[in-house]
Amino acid sequence: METAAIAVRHLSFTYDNRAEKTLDDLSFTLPKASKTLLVGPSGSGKSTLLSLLNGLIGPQQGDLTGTLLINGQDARGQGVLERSLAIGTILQDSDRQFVGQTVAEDIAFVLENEAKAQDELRQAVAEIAALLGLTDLLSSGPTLLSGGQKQRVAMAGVLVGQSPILILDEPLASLDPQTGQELLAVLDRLQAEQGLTILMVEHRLDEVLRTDFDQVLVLQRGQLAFAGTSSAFLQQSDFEEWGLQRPPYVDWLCQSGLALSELVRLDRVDQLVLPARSRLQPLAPLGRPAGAPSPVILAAKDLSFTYGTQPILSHVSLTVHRDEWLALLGRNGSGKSTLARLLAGFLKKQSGQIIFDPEGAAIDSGRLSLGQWARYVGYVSQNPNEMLIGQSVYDEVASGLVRQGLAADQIQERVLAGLRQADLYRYRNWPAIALSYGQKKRLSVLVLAVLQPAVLILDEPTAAQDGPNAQALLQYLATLQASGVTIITVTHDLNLLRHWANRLLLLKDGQLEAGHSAAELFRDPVALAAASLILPSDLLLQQRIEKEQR
Amino acid sequence: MTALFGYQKRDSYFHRLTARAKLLGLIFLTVAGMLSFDARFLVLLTVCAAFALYRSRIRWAEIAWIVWLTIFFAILNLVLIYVFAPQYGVKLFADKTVLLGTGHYALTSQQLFYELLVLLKYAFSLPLTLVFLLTTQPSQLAAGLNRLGVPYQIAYAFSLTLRYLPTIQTEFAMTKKVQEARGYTLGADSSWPNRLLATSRLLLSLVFATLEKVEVISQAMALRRFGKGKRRSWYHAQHMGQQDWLFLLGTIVLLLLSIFLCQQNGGRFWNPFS
Repeated sequence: METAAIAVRHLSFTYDNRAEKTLDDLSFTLPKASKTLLVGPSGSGKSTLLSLLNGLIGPQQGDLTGTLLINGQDARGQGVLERSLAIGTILQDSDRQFVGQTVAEDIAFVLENEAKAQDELRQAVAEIAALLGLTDLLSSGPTLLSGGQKQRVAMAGVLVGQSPILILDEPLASLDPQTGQELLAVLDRLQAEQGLTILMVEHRLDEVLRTDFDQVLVLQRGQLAFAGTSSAFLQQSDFEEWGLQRPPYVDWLCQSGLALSELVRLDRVDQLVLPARSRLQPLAPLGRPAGAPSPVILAAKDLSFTYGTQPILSHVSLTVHRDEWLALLGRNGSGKSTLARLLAGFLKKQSGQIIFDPEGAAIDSGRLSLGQWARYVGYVSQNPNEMLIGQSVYDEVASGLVRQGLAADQIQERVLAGLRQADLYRYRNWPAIALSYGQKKRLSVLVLAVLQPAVLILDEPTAAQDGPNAQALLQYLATLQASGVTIITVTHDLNLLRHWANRLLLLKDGQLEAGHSAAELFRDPVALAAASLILPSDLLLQQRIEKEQR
Repeated sequence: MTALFGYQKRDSYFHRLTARAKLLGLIFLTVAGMLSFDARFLVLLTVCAAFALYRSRIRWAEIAWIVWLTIFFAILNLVLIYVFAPQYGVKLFADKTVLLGTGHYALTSQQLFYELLVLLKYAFSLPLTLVFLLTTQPSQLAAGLNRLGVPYQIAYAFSLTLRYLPTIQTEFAMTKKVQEARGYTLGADSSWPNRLLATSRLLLSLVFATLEKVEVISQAMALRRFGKGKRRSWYHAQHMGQQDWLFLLGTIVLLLLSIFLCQQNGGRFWNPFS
């Protein structure tokens, strides 16, 4: 038998400062040139496992038992540098692993550390750049690149080191769905050409499972809860318990009473074969239509914005109604984040007008300081670390109210109620920086929501969060909406678009296209492409069936 | 948007020179200028430095604030010299020509001439430093430093700092806005205690954000074999060409001239009053 790329037997790990095991008796094998998907809720031990594999942690950080063979050799004593010869790691945060001044230098980093001669560096960089379509960007710095481009640079920088095993930690987290699909396709091509062994952590199942995996591993509380093919994985009934979201087409098949185990290619929605004359239940209607028309709460007229000489927005006008949930869509660079920041007063308006409550108080944003405007329109940036100061969770929420000069008992009441709503009450005495990413994200919404602005604008609220955390955040936003807050989200989240938003606005090259309902958007391939989205799997299946019936 | 202070990719004589030649040249000229108190030489050096700045295609907007800041400190320096040692020039040049006033604070041509020398030192060193910093790509500089014997870990740390400077600047600006939106204004309209509170909160958050970044970055570097060998190579390493040697030769000539003048004048000062 050929030696496996990675073989793990009875592996357990306990951090020095903890009582219980973070990883508990894991055994699995990654055959050479195979592709494995590793999933599990946050806190299941995924990060620890990856760090044990690439050597970032080892016996120095805790108690490690069991065997770990990499390419047939005992790797337990190897440090991170030795390991990196066999295993290349692409971290989740592609901005922070970009250490070079230019794309070329960043790609060359591994080889520079190998002290390779300069002409070898140039040649290797040129080859890998051509492979990943980065040739034109070689002399660009990181600030000029999009998320997708940075992700490809990160990939090139690891591939150039010729490690035969590749670990990817949530490669889709910061990418829009379409760019994510492109990245997965590139990865498949590279694997076929170079015989790489791939281990990928990714919880956006509906997107990642559009490509093939040889094996799926599910981690839960440090133990291996499932190991098998992706078809077998999708037949499991424990998704909720695992904190995962099953792709919607599988849910649909289940609800329609089909026996999943009898379906051919259940793992690929584009190749799935349905038995003849099988009847699927009609899908639930898309979107969440708004109730009775409510008055306008925020109106923007003729907003234009240029960055240097580059126009970002041109003549955008829109109205937002009280209590609605509006989603702003568009591909990278379409101007949606700029629009959100302009509305929130975080960017200085260059032309046009923004009016709060035009039919009532009619407050012009141009006359107010950011602090004053923020009482009407709050803004939650994408990175929660930018929002938090490092106090206790309670103080973080209370400080804004203290500034407003509220009475102490009133502050306490509002803060505690808010913490309960955001499901953070248990952590009220923790330092904010000790929270998980998802919890920080909810806290960053709460610190603004507690100030009771009428409108809350959020930039990519669900990005980089796993299913349960994203769901908890959306639930929290819906609670806020029900209490009378108008919600505006900039997003690529398919789930948010079809289940939560009332109205969608699409931006294309700095201009506002017509508004859409979720149903219209998903029926319109042009609009979908303009928003850099893909069809959710159940709608894709529905389209396939409709086509075949015609 | 204020223009960021830092290297800009452009094409000029100084952009084309290798980082090593520029670094050595800067050191030679700085030594030459610091050594000499010969007004004729300092004027020559200042003219050269001003010409270099003109040729380097740096835009005024990029350097305006640092130039104004330096001018402010230079003037402060000159005033303080006068306050604390109003007759220092007289002692130096062993001569006294009173232009204005009487007593200890009488203004003399000798003191004026001495303060002019101090001003000239600012005048030559600022443009030279600006030309060096703004035309030298940080990685090339790191490669050059390493080549001159600085350990590569230190050379790389320098380049890395410059790489993350824009990221930290934008994150800082964002955090500042977020705090403003939460009622902690830094503007002139709020009281001193409020501003102090807001600033300390801001700095605290910046420290936390930076510490977290440092950990992720160092892990990312270790995963890509940084620190593996005693030596590393540099993608942006440069080789000295004819132009570089000519440039170095020029700076060495100026250094020798400075030493020669010291000998001629019988000391570091050239005395026009004798």
